[in-house]
Amino acid sequence: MDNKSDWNELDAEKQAASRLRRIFGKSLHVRHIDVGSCNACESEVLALSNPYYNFHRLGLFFTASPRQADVLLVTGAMTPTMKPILMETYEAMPKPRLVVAAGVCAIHGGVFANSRQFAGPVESVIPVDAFIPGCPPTPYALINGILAAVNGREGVTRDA
Amino acid sequence: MFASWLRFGLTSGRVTTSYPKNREVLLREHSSWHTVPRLDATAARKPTPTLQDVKAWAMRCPTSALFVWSDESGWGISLDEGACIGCNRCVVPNVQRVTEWGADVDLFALDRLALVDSVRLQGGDFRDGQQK
Repeated sequence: MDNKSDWNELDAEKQAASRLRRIFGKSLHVRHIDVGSCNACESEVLALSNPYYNFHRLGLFFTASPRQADVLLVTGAMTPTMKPILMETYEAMPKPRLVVAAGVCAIHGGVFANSRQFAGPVESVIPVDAFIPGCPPTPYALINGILAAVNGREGVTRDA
Repeated sequence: MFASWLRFGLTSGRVTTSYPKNREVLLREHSSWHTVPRLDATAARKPTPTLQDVKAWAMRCPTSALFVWSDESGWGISLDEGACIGCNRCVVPNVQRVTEWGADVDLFALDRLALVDSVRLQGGDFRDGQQK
């Protein structure tokens, strides 16, 4: 893959932080939603805020309300029950909003792809800005994917 | 030292840590992590895998992330990294090293199709176990 950014390099990190401030203010708030996960992805998402990975140093924070969120981080194989909830959460977010699909289940369905209780990949319901593969994805990949989604929407406006 | 760290953190709005320094260090320190396999199209493979071998690897995949394709000029395999759960079933029996563990612990893609990697293994007829 040639579309990875060196987010750990200081220049790239500064550029990402400046873009982040320009587009989203001084911080980026992430709303995490589990639409049918086995909790493996959740353990990795939880690790983002520990002192080792420490994604707060980049101005990233978790928020409990979609009304205050800039990024929707979706994990898990979407079930029919969670499908309208995911759409409501997306609609409740203020614009501009980003969506990151994390984990194989959110991207493809994984081992649940042929299940009757699988309602389809996240991309089939809402537009996705970044895909993070892995079962589960590493915290590095999660940080990298969120920053890439911000960088990919450089020209975004508040009406987007 | 603490004062400079605090001043830099306050002025930049970030908590500053010295870890990790750069991506190369990160990949080197976590080289033992297995996340998603990748297809190696450049390695010299002896013996060259047959279509039967490749189909056997693809059948082992529980999510159909590894699949065989064919066209007029030959056949090959594709790996959908967005569907791969890293179960190791395609890597273990693969003595020709067509699929190997990738070193990218921070893999992502902005496009869904960018996660699908393909490699052509054989030009010519698409016949089971036959190679020209």
